[in-house]
Amino acid sequence: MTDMETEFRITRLNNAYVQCIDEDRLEEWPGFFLEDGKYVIFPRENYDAGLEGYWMYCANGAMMRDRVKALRGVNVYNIHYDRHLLSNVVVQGEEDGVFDVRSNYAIVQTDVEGRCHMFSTGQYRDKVVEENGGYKFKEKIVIVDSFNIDRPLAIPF
Amino acid sequence: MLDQPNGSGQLVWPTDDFTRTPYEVYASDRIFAREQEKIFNGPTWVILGIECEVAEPGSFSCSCVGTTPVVLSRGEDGELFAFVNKCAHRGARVVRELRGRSMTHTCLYHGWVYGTNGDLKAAPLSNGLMGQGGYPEGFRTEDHCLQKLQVDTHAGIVFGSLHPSPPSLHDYLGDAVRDRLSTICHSPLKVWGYQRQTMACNWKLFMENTRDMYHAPMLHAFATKYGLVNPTKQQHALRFENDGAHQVYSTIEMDRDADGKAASGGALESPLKLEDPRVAEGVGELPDGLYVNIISIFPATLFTVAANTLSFRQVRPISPGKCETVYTWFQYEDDDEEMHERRVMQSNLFGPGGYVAMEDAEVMESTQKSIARGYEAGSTFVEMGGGSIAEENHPVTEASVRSFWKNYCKYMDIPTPSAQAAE
Repeated sequence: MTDMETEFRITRLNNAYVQCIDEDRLEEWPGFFLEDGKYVIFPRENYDAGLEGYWMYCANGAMMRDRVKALRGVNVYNIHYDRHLLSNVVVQGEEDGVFDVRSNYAIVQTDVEGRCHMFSTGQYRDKVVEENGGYKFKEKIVIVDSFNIDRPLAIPF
Repeated sequence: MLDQPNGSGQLVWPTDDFTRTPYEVYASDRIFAREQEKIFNGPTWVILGIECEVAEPGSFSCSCVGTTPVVLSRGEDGELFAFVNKCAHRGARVVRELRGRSMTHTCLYHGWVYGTNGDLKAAPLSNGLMGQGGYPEGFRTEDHCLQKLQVDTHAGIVFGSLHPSPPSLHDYLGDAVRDRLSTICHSPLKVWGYQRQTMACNWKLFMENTRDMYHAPMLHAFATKYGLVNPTKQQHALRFENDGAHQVYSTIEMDRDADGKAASGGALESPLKLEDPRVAEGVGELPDGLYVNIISIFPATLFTVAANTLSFRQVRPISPGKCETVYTWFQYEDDDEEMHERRVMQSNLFGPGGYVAMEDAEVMESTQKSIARGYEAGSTFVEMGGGSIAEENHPVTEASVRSFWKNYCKYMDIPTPSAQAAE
């Protein structure tokens, strides 16, 4: 059983993570991870079938920073706002200082003309560790239930 | 407008040289219905998958030809079948999983049971119950099979046709397409993932985009800004097949190793640099310096083989303003771990979040929004490279787009103005 303070701090990490993205502070996004941390967006169709096939695959902080730099400077995508709805953050257990954490997410996206629609929903499967007195993601695997995407995928989930 | 000015309701294309496309074809219901009849139920072939996806007897995989849901199935004796996924009784969806393995397929509504070849094996209570009801005399299961598609393969790639007597797949694909597919699929294949993307645009905007090399440096600035391509060391080859219905577009690297494979993929001095360059570090795999291959097969099949990413897509029209693409990543069975890792890294370039691809959906969706309002008037302007439909060795031409429309009109039975006048 994880103690309440740890649960609270890990929940706060997840809340801060989605808020960072929703507030478009993407330059801070890689900082939520260890430098050798992994971030993957994984359509559930592939995950369930034991296949790979990712929408986004970052093996380390460098690849995350590359993603943000390209989004800011080069890539073009739909003008929109994202709003994450995060719930059911559960610390499943801990082994050798690595916390196994799961939570549900939904992203409601609003377009340039102010219309919103449900863009994506699924589960975050995280490995969280303590580093220098704070918590960081060693790994964040986004399992996307809604694996038929209907807008460009520019901003990380 | 496609209508004749005489109010006859007959259609006519605006120009002889296919340098104009009326916006109506991207937005109107009557055109969409005619496409299903003339193209997707016409004498054409659409990809259904690769053989390894249905390797075992009973393996199946669901997809679509146009708006028609179909199942590709491996029969009991290893033969390939494809049938329309619509119960012959009341039209219910028979196979509901995307893929799997089963020696029978039972419709959930009234329990009609079909075999792996789509034949009806049994219809419950066909003899009635305690002397009451049942089907009339003369009911025979063989008269109520699932509608079958023609199926044929080339280099392990499976195509299907809803038409009862299409041209042979061999002739339909033609030499250039067959040869390139054979070159790519040179040893046993394996699927490593799927991607599904629904786009709020007409399916032809997507197919045109696959045949338009003019847009790439402007829309997909990542490739040039990060030095993925070095124009001074690269040649282009645009080739057509089957009277221009299909495109085989290639970039050819001039620096090659002893086997003729591209020695390096780009590595040009560039204004922007990746901190982790593995995303852009392709190695040559194909002969003759072939590096990027875009094989667009009329009407709705696409192979994109770029550096070490190998994929094909089935394009599915849903409505005039909506289509879906299903993207299949494949690799060779005997890839080592290093090559597989390379493919995964480079897959960041393509798909809905691809560094050199995400813009396509945005431009096609915003185009659809513009043209679908007031589509009755207006047409595109397709004159890059002039009005010819010629094979070129440069990308600054829209010849392949014009060639698409030429074939579109042929299948759709829409005459050009001069053909109309000659009648």
